[in-house]
Amino acid sequence: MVDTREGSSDNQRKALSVSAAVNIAKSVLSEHTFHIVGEVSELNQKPGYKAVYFTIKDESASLPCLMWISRYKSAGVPLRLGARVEVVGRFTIFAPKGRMNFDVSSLRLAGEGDLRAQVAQLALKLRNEGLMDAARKRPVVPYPQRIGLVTSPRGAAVHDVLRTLRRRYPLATILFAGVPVEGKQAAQGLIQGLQTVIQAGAEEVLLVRGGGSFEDLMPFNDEALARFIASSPVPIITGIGHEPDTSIADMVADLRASTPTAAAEAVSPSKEDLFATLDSMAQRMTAVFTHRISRSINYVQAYESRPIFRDPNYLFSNDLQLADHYQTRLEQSMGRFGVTDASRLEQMQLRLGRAIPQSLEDQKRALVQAAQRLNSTLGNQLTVHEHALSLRSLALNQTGKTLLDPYKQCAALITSRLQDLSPLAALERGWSITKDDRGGVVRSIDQTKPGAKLAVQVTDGVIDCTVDETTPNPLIAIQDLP
Amino acid sequence: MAEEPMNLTFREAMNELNAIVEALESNTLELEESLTKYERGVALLRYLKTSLADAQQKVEVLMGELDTSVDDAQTDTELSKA
Repeated sequence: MVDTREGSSDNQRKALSVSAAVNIAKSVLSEHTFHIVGEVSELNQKPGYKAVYFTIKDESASLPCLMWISRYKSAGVPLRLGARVEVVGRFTIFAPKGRMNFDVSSLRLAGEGDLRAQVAQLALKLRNEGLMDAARKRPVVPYPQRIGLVTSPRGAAVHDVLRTLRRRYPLATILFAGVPVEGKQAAQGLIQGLQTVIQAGAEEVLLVRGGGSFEDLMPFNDEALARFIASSPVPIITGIGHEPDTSIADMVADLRASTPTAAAEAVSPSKEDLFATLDSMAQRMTAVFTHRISRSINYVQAYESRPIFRDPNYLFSNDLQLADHYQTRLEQSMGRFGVTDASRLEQMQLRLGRAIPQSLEDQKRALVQAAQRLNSTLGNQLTVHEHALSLRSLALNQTGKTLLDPYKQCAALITSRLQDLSPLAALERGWSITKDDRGGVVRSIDQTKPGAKLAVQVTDGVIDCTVDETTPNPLIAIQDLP
Repeated sequence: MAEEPMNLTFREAMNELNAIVEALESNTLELEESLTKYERGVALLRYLKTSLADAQQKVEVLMGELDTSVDDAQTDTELSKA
């Protein structure tokens, strides 16, 4: 207090020193504790300082503040310019400068700004750890069998998701964990819900909730939840709130959709699209297969038009002629030399026996192969379900049958002719084959001599003989067989 | 012998069908093989279409109680009004 009435004797007071005056003011000011809210406008925070100095202000006033380092550290709130803070403390005066300060004993970020700053700080920390790296994000599972759904059992979100999945992709079984999505315990509940559906075999999980205020969405900004999502063995797709709210769960999720419905759509191919895809695959498959069949039909038709299939005699004409030729020769020889010329006849028979079965065997093998190829090719046509293919198949099959008939007739003819010409038949008629002791066929008296052993083969066995003598055939000189 | 289509999951059948269509389109198969693949493809297609057409969504509630008071028809009506 300063007396302004100079020279007054009644109220004569001793003048105060500056220090005393400031001290009085200081003690008066510090009697009351204030809670003040303001925006940080200046900040002086240097290493080595014992206090942090900053200014808070509103539209029309500003207040310099100081906060002792120990208190600042225990408050755990980083100051930054522009932050809205609530400070608790007392006014004080820094005597050496005569300046008023607000001595802050506790500090917290004010209102929503507090939450946002905390979330932003956590987001930064997790980002720095790499939990939000694009490389970590897994694609959604194609055609999932089991889809997990973690959300509130009440409200629109769960029904939006279920309806969307039922409409688009009813094939999947939904593993549902209904948990609270708001409140202090919500984050823990969400983690438990995720764990439960993953353990039950969910191939991917939808983590959703409807829109809400920033505070409502806070459980989705929980650090433990974020870490669980990042380490989940299956992809997690979020659909939380509406744009532009982005929670930390969204940032660490494998895929972030803006709404529950969008999240459901992201994991489910639509039924209509799937049917269209299947139809187009069916068309592609049928087109390419039909083409493949007609290629084979052309191939078979090319064979069909060859002379060997057009005229069955073509296949055997040589043999038939040869058989005719031998038959004629045989008849001539028999007529010429009579039944006594056993050795000549036998020679012809042996040659016939060698020539005919041999060539017939080759032809038979070729015929069997051709028949097999025809059969396997033609057989396939029958199983084609397409109408057009069935018709072609039928036609081919018909062709196949008509192709084989002449061969069968021809083969029967050949068989009966061979039967006639067979050496075995000759043996049955009384002819025999004479062999020496080395197994060689004896065709001439020169091949044996009196005393030699001979084996005579007749139709039902062998007669072992000894040669008494040999007599030349007087007609042998005019023999001229090929 | 290939697995019966009904023993496959939708995804497995879909993958196999894709492979078959690609193999057929590669035009490198023998006739017999393409016939076998075609038949298999048709069986898979039939299975996939039937599964899709007949599918009924199943919901297994593992935690909490699903509130069924919100009837879907009602929600749909409300949505269409909105």
